[in-house]
Amino acid sequence: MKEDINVIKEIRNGKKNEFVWIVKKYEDRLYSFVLRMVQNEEDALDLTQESFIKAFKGLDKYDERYSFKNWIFTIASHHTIDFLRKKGKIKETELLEKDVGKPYIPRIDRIIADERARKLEHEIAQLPDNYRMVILLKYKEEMRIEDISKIMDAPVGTVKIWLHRARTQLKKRMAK
Amino acid sequence: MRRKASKKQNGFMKNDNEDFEFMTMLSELRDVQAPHRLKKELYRKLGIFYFPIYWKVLSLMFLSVLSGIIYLFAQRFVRLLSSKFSLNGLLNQLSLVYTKTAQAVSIIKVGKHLEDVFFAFASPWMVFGFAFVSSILILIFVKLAKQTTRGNAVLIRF
Repeated sequence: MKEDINVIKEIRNGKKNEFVWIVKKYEDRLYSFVLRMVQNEEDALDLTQESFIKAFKGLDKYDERYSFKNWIFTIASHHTIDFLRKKGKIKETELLEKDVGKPYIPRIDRIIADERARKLEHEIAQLPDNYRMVILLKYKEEMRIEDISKIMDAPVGTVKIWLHRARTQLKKRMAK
Repeated sequence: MRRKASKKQNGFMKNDNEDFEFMTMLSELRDVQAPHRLKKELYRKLGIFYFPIYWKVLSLMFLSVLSGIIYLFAQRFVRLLSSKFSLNGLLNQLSLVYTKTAQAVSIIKVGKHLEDVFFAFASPWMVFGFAFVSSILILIFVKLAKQTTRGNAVLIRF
């Protein structure tokens, strides 16, 4: 697999077909992340596509000193947040206790054999959007708190609090 | 007091283990495979030409089968041609074509000459007589020009 930075240099030099490598490398990760956030396959597909298009068109703005993965996840996260806001789906933390039943993601359900992992997926889906995003970015994508705070446009302290609360919530639910 | 402290420590250790296990589970969440149409639509929108790998494999297979078939057909065809025609036979055919063409040309020339003769003679009887003699001569020439075969040899008596 080619290094991101080399691929980006080639794309900037006019070889736009090299973007295929970027798509190949990140499509599943980005799609999974967005799908877990919006919990609808069609919306996730559109948002992932739009994120890639935005990344492709804004490639000149990308600063090579920073991680490309973080950059593309920032685009996808912003896009997802905008989408959820527009749909009025952003839930505040207080809504958590209501345990709003969301439609379960059949695609994810099908591929997970392990019962505990399935339960975890289910419980992640029940979290408020900002908690879910923090949990996914921190543990699934292994990002630093500082990067997450930039992605989510929130102070580091707030992200830490969200992360702590999200973890506590999840653990409680998993113990049930 | 000491027992209480050790109990608390055990509690922390248990919590740490749980946390570790929990985080491992989170990090091991499986990625969902993106639908194929994501790539297809995306590349179309970006104007990127992309030929999926399975299409590449299928095209290569199809082309190799096609080239194999063409090669076999060409080989058969060449064999068929070489069995039907020898070099001598081909030369014979060419000389035959040449003779027939020469005959046709000579007849046309004689006809043209007759036309000149017709205009040259004022008296129609003379023309008639000349045409009669000429036609007999032409017939004799044509008969003479006809090829005859004797065995494998082609004889042209003209």
